[in-house]
Amino acid sequence: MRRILRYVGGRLLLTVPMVFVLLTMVFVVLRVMPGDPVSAMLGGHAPQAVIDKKKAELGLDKPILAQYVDYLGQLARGDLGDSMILKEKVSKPISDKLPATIELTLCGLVVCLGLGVPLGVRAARKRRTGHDFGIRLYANVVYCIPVFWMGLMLQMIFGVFLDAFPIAGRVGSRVVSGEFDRTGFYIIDTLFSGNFEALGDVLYHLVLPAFTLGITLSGVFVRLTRANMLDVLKSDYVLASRARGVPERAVVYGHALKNALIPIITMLGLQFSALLAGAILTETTFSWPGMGRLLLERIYLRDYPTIQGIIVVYALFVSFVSLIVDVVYAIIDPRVRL
Amino acid sequence: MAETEREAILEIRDLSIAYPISIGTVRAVEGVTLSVRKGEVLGIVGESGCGKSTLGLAVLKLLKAPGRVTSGSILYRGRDGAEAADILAMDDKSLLDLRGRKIAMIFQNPLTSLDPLVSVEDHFIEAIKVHEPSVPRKECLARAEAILADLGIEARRLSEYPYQLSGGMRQRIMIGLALILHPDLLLADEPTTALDVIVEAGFTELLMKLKRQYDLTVVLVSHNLGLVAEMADRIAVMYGGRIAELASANDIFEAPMHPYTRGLMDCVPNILLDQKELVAMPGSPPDLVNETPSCPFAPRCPKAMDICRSSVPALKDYGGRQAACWLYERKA
Repeated sequence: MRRILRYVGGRLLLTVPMVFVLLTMVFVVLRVMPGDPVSAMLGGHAPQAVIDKKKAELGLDKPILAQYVDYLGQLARGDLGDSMILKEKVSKPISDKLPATIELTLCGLVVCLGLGVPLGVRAARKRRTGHDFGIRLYANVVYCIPVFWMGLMLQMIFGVFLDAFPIAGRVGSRVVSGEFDRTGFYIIDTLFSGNFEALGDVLYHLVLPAFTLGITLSGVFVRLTRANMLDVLKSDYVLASRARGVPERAVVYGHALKNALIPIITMLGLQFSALLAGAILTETTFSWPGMGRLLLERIYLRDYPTIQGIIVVYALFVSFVSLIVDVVYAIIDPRVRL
Repeated sequence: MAETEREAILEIRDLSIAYPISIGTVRAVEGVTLSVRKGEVLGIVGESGCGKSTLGLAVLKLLKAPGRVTSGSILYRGRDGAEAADILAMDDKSLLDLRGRKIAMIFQNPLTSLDPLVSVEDHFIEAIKVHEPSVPRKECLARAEAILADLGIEARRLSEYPYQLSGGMRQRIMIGLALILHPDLLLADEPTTALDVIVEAGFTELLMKLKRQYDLTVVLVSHNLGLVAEMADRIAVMYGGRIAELASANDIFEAPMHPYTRGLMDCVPNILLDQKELVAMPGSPPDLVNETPSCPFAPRCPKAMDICRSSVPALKDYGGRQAACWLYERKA
């Protein structure tokens, strides 16, 4: 246990230089990119004097290096700064929208693994049969489908033609989110406030976005699970446990799947950033009030500090998840020394 | 003969096993008839690819796809002399009951035969609980400790994982897992191939001790003549999926009948003889895909006759021992 804690501490320290490098790149790229917050705000025809005044107000007239040093100083005090467009702290919209993104991503992840792993196991056990072929076809097809197109198709089929699920937003108009909104995680909030009608509505709204995200990414996991299961099912210890009279189910799920999960968990850590990237598109497709949509909005407005803030939060989220993945890995596999 | 029939705890009758592959059908085992007598150590010897491991797997009905039994039966009678049952006709439930509890098997590679994510104690707990789910965890551990003591492994190893154990230790744990439920029959498939010579010597001794202690019948599958010579009471020599010769270990070593058995023996270096060179058997193992109506050993046999190339010799009795060779059939 102490070993794990020490490892976690080390990893957390490592995220500092990582975020620093990432932030420097974003900082420079944003300012090198054509367009700036002032022209985004004032439009193209404002008088030069007004533009210069506004730029000076925002500190954009200083050299990039000076701006950078100012920003880092601010960041060192734990302050993400103020928006250049709206009169608000950068942390305000982020803390508002982050829970929506986390909720969507985690539900997408559940769908992704819930589909990918069992299908992969089934394909491996039914190797070279119709099942196997069908599952592999599914995996290859969804792997190729862009996430936004998948979203549009699901919206069209399940939202419009079948009229079975809502296609936008986190809650319906009959539910007042103010009644339960505490943490911003609607599933948790509605559960704790005992508002089960609202919980149902929240889950109902999650179905299409979560499946859009989950299905698209499940292809990789189907293929990975299948390949690893085929490998593990051939191994000596699987044969040995069969020879000891262990029933097939226990052999497959107890011994084989557990071993096959190790590379799957590794892949999960790697694919998490893809999941977040997919979430940005999914949020846009489903008008999901999350960080992805916020990021897109603020990129159009060239709201430098908010964009930087969002990138920092994304980076921390990804490194946090990969840290969890590593710890889970160490718990499952006794050979791993953290 | 009637006497031995009654003693047999396992009887393989006319067993043929085939693996359909893209270029044809590999006939890994062809018409093998063999009985295992209660309390004996039966050695099955042959080169790699002669069908000996396939035979072992078939006894537990664990053939790997696409392998399948094309004919024959495997009758299991058990130590208590109960009604014989055909293993190949058993349903899944009876098979699960048979595997591990009545017939146990240990495999060639001890390094990979334990689940790397499962501790030694959990291996034992699973092995027991699969057959006796009501046994409490504590008793499982007590039994495991007792058997580890017989195997010369300290009880503290129970909480360790396979990667923390040496190859020899893992092999002993495999035996412990196989014997924990006191099976009648132990199938040992190349049990020492992956071990070094020193460990192998210890292993042989241990297995013989356990055989007496646990009242075991052992089928020892190996290409290692030395190992089989040390342990086996009777030896079946296999070639090309068939039994070439079956006799007591003494007879096999003193007076091998089949030219293949003789050839095998010549290949083993003997430190007492002043051999300048090792003798290698000419030719290579038979092609099991293309069926030819001839003795499978004929192409490599120094004594091959015309008849050897045109028809297959049957396994015949020659005064308490059996051989499948035209050399003797004509004289008899």
